[in-house]
Amino acid sequence: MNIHDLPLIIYTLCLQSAVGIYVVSRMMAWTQTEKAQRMRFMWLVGGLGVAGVIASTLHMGYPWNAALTMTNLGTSWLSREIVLTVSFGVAWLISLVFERQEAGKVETRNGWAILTSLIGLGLVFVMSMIYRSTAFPAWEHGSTTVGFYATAGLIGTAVVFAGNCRKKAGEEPKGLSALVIGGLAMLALQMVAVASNGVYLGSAGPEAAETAALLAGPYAVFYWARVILVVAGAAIVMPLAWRRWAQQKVTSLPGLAGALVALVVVGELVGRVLFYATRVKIGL
Amino acid sequence: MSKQLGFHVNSANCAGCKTCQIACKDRANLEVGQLFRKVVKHEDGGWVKQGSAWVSNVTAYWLSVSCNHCDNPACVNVCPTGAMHKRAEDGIVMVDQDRCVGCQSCVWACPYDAPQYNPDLGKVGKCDFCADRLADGKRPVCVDACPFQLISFGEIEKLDQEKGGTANVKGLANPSRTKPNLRINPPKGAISSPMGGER
Repeated sequence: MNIHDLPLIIYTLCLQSAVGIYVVSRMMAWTQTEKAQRMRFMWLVGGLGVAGVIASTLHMGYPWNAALTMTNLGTSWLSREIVLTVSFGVAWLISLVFERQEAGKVETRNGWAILTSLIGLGLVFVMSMIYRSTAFPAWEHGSTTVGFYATAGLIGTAVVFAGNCRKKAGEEPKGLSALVIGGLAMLALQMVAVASNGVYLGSAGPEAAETAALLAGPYAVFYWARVILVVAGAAIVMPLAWRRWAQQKVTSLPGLAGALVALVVVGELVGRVLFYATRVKIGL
Repeated sequence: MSKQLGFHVNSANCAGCKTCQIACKDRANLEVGQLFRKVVKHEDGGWVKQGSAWVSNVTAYWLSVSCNHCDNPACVNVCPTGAMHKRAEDGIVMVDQDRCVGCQSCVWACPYDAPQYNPDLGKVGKCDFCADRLADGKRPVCVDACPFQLISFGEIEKLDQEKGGTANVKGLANPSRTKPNLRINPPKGAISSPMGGER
């Protein structure tokens, strides 16, 4: 892996996680009216967003010209990404203020959450289009977009599930069954992305074939480790935690919640490192 | 656009001496690892069955490639600041160093490795067709330097009429991606694959 890719790995993972956690947490808070319930995960979303943006500036060779990066919206997906990152940040901030001040009706705040979520989901799409517009055939496929959405969804459901499992004593975790179903759906989506990318690599020219050879050769251990980690997290630990909760065996829930987040986040991190490390460019 | 400049390279006779590459690097004062024009060797072929016999049809040739000042330049499309731009008067793709943010989107997008990242400046540079020399009525240094005079330049329509050639050769990206203003007199084996099948 090229060390210069590290800021982009951090940026994409942090922002996709922020979008995923925001969307899933707002869905879980939809019918909640209590301030503490509606504020859950809001600071985490902001923290991830700030961390991602700071990391992204480290990728620029001359960040003093950063103010000019939104001036080619007509053709540059990177320009659009930066505009949507700023928009998502502003929308999140307004959402945070609404919830902290309990401003307006819950329906109004839910409406703003929908708008913020749409901006975030748009950001994930635009992010994927940056990679699909390069001369790296392995990235030029729809599986890049599907994979990015699945990352957001997997980390979003895993973190919100874990957060709900770690509620204070006396609080009953809510919505765990819905999160288990959501997590399994996102896992299925990620597996569709992985499988369709594999099929595509076999038919997209010599550079894509080189990427496939890297994934099947020196990076095979990481490739399968990634699959095993996310499957273990979303398909084994999350349903297991849900079952423990249903059986009222809540003492093991915090441990399972921690394991779930660790497995999914590390799995997606390994997947993102592989995404960058195995790219092969069309070129001389 | 009033005209479009381009290069014609007679690769069929190129010996791979790399004088063009060195002249370009010298003029642009590039550090180790950066090349605005590069000469690369493409090797192809193998054993193929003809009747009951296996015959070798291995081929190798040199390609001298710089920025191709494409009609649909991927680098210009992806640049978030507009630093990478195509001049209206002659179609030369240039970098405005005052606007470059060093994101390297152009480096990722170009299938010819034309934009070169300079880590000392934190910015990208590339072949500018020796625009300053053209303004003085001189030829690009690569054209001047080639000891066999195999590199030509000029309006691409005239080059097509006078010399012909194609950018659709093995070893280069499919020209439909960016529509490069590069024409190559292809060496043997550069069009149809010795391993069978057209490019």
